Amino acid sequence: MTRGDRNFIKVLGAVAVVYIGLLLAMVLANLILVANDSASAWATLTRAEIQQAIFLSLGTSLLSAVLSVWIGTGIAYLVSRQQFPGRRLVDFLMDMPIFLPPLVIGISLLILFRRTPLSMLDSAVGIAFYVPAIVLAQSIVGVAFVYRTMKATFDTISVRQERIAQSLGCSRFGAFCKVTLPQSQQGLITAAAIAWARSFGEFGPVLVFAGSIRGRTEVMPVSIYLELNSGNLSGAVIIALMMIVIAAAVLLVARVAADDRRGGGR
Amino acid sequence: MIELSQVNLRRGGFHLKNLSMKVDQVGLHLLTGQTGAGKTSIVEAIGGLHPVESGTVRLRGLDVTNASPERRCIGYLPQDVALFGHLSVRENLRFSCRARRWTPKRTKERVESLSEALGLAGLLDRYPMNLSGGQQQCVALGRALASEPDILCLDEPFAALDAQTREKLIQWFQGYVQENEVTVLAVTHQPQWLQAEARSIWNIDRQGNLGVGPSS
Repeated sequence: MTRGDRNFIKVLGAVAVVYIGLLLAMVLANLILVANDSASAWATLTRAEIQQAIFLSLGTSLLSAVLSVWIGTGIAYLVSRQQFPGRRLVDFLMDMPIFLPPLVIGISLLILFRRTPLSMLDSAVGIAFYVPAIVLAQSIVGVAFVYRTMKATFDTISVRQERIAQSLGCSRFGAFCKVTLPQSQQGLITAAAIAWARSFGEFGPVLVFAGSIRGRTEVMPVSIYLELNSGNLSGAVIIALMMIVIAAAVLLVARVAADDRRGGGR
Repeated sequence: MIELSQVNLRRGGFHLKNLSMKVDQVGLHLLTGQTGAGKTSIVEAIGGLHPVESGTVRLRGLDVTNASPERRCIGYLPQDVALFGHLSVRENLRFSCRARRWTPKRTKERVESLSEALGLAGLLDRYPMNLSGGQQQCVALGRALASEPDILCLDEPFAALDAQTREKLIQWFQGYVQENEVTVLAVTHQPQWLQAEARSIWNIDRQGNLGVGPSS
């Protein structure tokens, strides 16, 4: 390795150290703050509405991730495998939720369900400012991330394998389930993890479309916002720390699950 | 058994026009020709893996031109073997039996007999990536034969095998074809390996002329 190579690696290493150091420092700062005011932080966590927010966050983010995976994977497969008029437009539109400001998604959903004929559905079922609004707001963005991840995955898997599976007696759907999906396992797990993480942390659209109604549509990011507004900093931070722990645990599980062990081991 | 009438095929800039062939006898039939002449496109068109632009493909007297591959009920061995990498050898072998809803008992017996015949008995729990090229080709042959199709399209079925294994396998395969009354269309660059038993040898030249006759 030349001196120039070593310097190049050193610069990259320094960037990595600074970035990871910043991430860890953020968590450490949270921990120190909570440790200095542990009684107040603990009192926040034991409040009924916060515990309800934790369960609501876990439930809605899981449901949104499942919905996002179903919808996003289906559309990604369609666009990856089929040629049809407007295919490029569909591909473009599927990326839009990623690029739109979160508040725009929230206000657009609110207008759609309150100022159009869909308001009748809202009146009958109760969508805006209820739990379905949380799931909808979370899924809109989740689907886009699943779509992008799964389209890239399907694009790398040869359509030939599906045709071979069909020649062996599978229907197109059977070939998708038995050949394409198992080969997309890593992409699928990554997509599901991203969809869940996005849903779990979604704030802007949820706040606008579902509101911040304690005991009804309060999810953890909204709890942080409400605690901050009421001046309970240590309460907001303990909820944030809890979100970090949950997110890290899910990331760890996703990484272990996505780890392909079929290499030389068997 | 296998009939192409005035078939036109296109693959990228490559165009095969007015292909006609008729294979109406049980047994082994060879398709030879230079590299890039279109042999693989022809067997893929028969198997439904490659669409035809015009013309008619008939199998067992039935028009299957627009039928999906699973409705054609043939065994196909592609040149690149295309084994399912996420499945073990055993799972690859039983794939078509399961797809065609065989009973577990019948599937198990079939996998056992095929793996024994093809020398795969000790490899059933391995994954394709851990097999040699010749072993992969044996698995692909077994996978194509597993659900007992009466028509087989094999693309270079013995090319990756060493001479000793090839001779042994060809001998077994010829017996299998006779015993089970299978119609086989095999693409090969080495017709000398199989021509002694071949009922017909089809040749396609660089101009896309398909006809019965010795390889040029």
